[in-house]
Amino acid sequence: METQELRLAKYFTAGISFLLMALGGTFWPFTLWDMYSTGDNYSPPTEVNRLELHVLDKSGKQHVLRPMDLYTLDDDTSNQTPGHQLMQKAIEGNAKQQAIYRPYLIQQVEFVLDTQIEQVEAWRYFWQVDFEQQPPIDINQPAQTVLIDRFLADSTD
Amino acid sequence: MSFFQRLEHRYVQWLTRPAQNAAGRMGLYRIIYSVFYLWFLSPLKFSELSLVPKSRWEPTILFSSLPALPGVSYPAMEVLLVMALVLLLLGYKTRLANLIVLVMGFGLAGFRTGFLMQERTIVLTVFYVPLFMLLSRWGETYSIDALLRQKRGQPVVSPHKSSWRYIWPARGLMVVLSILFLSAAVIKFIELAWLVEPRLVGDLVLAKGVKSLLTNGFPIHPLGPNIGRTNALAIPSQYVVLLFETCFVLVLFNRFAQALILRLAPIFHSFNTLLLGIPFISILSMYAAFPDWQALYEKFYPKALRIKGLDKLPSSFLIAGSLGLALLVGLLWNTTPSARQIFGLFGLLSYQTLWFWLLPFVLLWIFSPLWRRLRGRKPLPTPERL
Repeated sequence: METQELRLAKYFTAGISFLLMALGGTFWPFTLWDMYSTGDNYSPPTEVNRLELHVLDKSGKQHVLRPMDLYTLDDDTSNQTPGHQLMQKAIEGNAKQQAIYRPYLIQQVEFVLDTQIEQVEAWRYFWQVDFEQQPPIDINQPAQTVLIDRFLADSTD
Repeated sequence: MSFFQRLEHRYVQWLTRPAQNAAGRMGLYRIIYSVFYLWFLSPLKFSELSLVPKSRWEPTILFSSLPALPGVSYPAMEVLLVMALVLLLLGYKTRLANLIVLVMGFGLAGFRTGFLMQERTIVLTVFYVPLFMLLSRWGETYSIDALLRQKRGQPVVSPHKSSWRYIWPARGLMVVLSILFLSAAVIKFIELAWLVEPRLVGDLVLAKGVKSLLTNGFPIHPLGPNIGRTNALAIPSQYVVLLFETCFVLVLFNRFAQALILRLAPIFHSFNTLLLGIPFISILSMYAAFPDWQALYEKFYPKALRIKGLDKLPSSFLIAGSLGLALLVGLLWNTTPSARQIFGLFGLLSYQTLWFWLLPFVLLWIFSPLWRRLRGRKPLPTPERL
């Protein structure tokens, strides 16, 4: 019994370690930790922006949704931008993407707000970044806001 | 004896070394892991997968033969996962509950990866821990299973039992974690940027701080821009990170390195959270496999709070109570906010703040032996090696 258990412990630990090393990077979940290894795309920005939604629900109430409000996110902030991707495709994507993603965006917004919505406005917010200042970016004071699009929720059916 | 035979001999010796309180610490680890997992799940809503258009289904290789499931499947899997976690916490049908936790948790992470975002860090919690523990004996202490065995007149496992048969899965997790840390260092060495671009971490701290604010709402701590702009702080930090990741593997070989690195790890993660907005909380589910929880329980857990008299309850009551509680929590999980609020500790601890709550305890853990050494001039205790 103990010999069998020892064999199991020995080969199981060695096997999982081998799989991790041999398949690492290509075969999820045996992924290695290559995050931030190249240093690419991490030059300090002087200006940043993001899309935000101004949503009017059927009762006439206004809501502001940031991309991060569209999905529940776990503790891995390195690559979790599904809300940004959805907004980008639904608002600024090509006609085919908009046809697929606008109805989905509406559904997702209604799921998050738990209410029927009437109209969506997509705004792009711009902020100046100054690392000499504290804080370097004032999230409540965008340098510029631009209305990108406005559409009725029903028109996406 | 050939080189490989000697290597195998050393490996087996390491894997089978007894560990103090092995049986008790693994039973308590099971409880801590289950509570942690329920807390970790509480803000996540897998029902959002139901809405994603099927055209977005881009499965990983392992899931490539699976179609996107009908919408109701994801909340149903979530409920099954929660019910299994409650059973695992109580230790009823532990191995079966462990299997369901592995299949449902890993399955949900796989579908989230295929639909929304690659899940890289939570595989520690949803995959590696339940995979190793499936073969463990962590249900033999502090569990309903143990009580039922006792009632049937079968021998009771003492929490002080030190056999390797209880502790080897924790050692397996330590090997996996060491490989992952080493991979982070090796890839950085191969890419060279971390060695030859002295401003890399300085710029990363500045840029990632802003990105984390915009993408996940992490506030920018004043220390971030100050460290990022000051070469005298940013450049050494870069090499400290490389050193930490490279040296982590020493936890497998040396007791002092293990004691030092496992004490420094929470500080490392706290700084990553504070400066970069990278909390990487799921790694705690693996770190939690290493401490001697039995010794801590005996020393610090108030006697008044210890549950007594369970062995006097009839077996049928214990079984019905376990199943009833699992069913209740599972059914409430997606229908009312109460279950999520309770296991989410009413938002008191979040992914963003947990390391900072733990930090004072870690500092106490580091400095109390040093303080005692200074006061009493006693030698520092020799750290136990897992």
